[in-house]
Amino acid sequence: MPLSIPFARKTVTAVLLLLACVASFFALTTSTTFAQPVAEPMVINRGTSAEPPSLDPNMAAGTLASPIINDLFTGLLSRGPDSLPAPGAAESWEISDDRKTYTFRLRPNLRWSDGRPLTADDFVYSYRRIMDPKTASRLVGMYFPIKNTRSIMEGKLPPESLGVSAPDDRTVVIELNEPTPYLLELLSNLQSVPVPRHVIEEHGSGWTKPGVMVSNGAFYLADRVPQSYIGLKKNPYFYEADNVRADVVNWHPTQDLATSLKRFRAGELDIILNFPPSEIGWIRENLADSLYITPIPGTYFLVPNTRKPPLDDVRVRKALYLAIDRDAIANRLLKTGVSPAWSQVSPALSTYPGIEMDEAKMSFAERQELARKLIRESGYDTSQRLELAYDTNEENRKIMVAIAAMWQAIGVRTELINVEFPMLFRKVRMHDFALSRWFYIAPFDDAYAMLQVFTADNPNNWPGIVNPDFDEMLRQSNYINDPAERQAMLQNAERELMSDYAVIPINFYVGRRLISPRVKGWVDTPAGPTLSRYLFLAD
Amino acid sequence: MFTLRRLAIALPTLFIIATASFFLMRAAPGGPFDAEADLEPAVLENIRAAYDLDKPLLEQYWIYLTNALSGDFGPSLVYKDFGVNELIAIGLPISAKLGLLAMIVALLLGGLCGIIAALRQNGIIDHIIMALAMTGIAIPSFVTAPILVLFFGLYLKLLPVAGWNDGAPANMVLPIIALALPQIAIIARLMRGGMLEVLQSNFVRTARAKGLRESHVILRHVMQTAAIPLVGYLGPALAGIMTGSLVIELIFNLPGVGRYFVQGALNRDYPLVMGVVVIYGALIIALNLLSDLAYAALDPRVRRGYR
Repeated sequence: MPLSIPFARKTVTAVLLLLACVASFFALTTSTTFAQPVAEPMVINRGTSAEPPSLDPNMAAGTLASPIINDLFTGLLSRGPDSLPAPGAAESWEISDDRKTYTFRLRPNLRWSDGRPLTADDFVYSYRRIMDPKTASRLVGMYFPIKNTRSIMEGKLPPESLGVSAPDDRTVVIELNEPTPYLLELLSNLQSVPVPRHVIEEHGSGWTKPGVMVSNGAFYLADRVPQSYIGLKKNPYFYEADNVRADVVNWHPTQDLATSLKRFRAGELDIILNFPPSEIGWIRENLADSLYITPIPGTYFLVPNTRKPPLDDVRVRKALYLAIDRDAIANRLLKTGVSPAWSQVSPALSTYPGIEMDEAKMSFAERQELARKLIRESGYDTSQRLELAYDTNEENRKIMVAIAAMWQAIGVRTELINVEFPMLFRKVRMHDFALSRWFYIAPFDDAYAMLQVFTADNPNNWPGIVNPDFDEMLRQSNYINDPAERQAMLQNAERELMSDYAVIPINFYVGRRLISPRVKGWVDTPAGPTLSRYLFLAD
Repeated sequence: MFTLRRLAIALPTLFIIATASFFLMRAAPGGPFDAEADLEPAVLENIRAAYDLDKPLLEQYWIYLTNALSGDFGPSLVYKDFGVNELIAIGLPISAKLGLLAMIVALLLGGLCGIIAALRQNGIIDHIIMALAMTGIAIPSFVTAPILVLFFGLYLKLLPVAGWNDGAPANMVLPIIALALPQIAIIARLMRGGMLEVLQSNFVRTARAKGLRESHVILRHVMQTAAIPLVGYLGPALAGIMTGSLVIELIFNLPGVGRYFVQGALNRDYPLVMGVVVIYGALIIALNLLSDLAYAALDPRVRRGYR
């Protein structure tokens, strides 16, 4: 039908004109958006893996929110440029002879980001707020060393009975139930930050909004679009504001790791704390000057349900432990920098030497042989299928398939069960599983943090193991004053845990970060990402 | 009359959607706080009480219903700094803006391609356009979007790789293209099909026989009728594209509402899921109504059927 050509041509012209209009609209608005102010502020763009659940320090749990809240708030203790504990709002402290009372002396003239004076009462208010059942904070468990925490949480005592007090404006006293050698480490996380009573009482749960939130850290909350960015600006009232060089720090929650990497490559993000593990080869070749791989205190392991057959038999658990070729998984299958884990507690902890397992010295063939013998002796029914649950994720799938194949070699047949993470969590917590992939990252820098979860009464105790000797060793470690002796006791406790094969460690985590070369001040340590107050940009 | 009758059906429909999703959501195994570590039983109890989750299910339903009627969907169980209303109020305009622009682009390009293909039925141009359209439908956006990003963002460095940047136009270009591509393909096919059917019909032959100019025949007679199947498709499609896409939002790091449907459900964030489901339901009902009205305007038979 040749007669339609003029018509088609007209329509094409009309559509092109319309598209041109749209394009020119974009062009016009673009030119205004990218207009540059005269003095350019220093803006650091940091990536984070997802939208943090909350910026309220009394509510937020987990590694997602911590680095952002650490930019906003400063506790009694804070972290130095190397991310190790350092004086924060408190300039000094004294520990009583029985090591059950800590007295902190605040710096003079502390202020909130709205200029109001910050006093010891604000710290007490923050602690009481966490403990109050009405606050429904998830963090209470971290504070159990403090006197009366448990009773307040259960509603038996009022929040005012908590063992934290302020005898005067510059003194905070913390009383403990029993000596807690890791207390200062604990307090240098989010466990000792104050919250602004004057703002919370006025705005209630809306106090974390930009423009409302008042904080005492190096930065204050200026702007926030959920799932897009959290904009922080330099706080002029911070006690070391003169040493803070960045004017603006934008945190960008970027859930998709591939997107995160692309944004880094395009220069939209200066720092990203993770990227797709499969890209590590390409990154080593092309972004070597930005790549930082450092062990972090976390372990990837399998947890057996020790309360149900067949894994209630320690011989079966030991056989499964023996028959895994950890070296092959870490260095040939994954190649992402992780190291094989023979024991549970990560060697990345700054004070803990770790333990050596005899099995690590055996050859794989020797271990397989011993495993077969143990399986025979235990009377394990090799016709059954052992259910191994894991959360949906490409890397997990690879590892689980490899492990299933390794166990096949000793006659243990596996059925892989793949579920969404919240489902897996539920299964594990309800002890509704036979064997599950699991992981744990130490919430504070001490072996105690990684071991205490296996005590009989801990709600985490995923394997459901009960070993009174282990519990007693952990308890005793709190009463040992000498650091080396204490670490030795913790080592004994870990050996005790491993002698039950209550966990089957696979590998130790590493942090995989990309830091743009123009970012200065970054110190890559196991202790955590560097606080933004120590960072600056320079070409 | 037609409009009133449709509106009268809309409200009960929305109520049924809300009720069904409330109970379906609660019937799903797992709960909102399953994935939080370190929780002592007493702590968990306190948290459940804070969100009324310790109350009997019917009472929770009543609380939800009365709050929803007053326009409050409650707090999000996962994003604790925001209410569900706030999350939707921030995310929906972003998704809607991107979706609407993508649909406009798709209508212009897809419509044009469909018309040209129909006028050149079985010619080379027709085959090329239809092959491209099939490809457009078949290739999912999680493939096209990263390719667009690699090419325009990283290779040519013309456009930002991702991010919303408070709605800067440059940040919207790639998401709009990625959203529009499959729509262009579908619209082109629908338009072509509609055109071909109408081009064969008697009234077109009559119009031509009367010696009308071809452009007049196409514009006045063919296109109006040929657009009817397209109008039926546009209502639900627009509701879908305006409520965002999880894939596009993740790849371009956009703060839209699309992710809340999937992640809200996975996290068992009951209030958030209820909020987005009701909004989506309302939108789809409204747009279906609009599309039916447009139908009625284009095709008198539909109107008369209701009289």
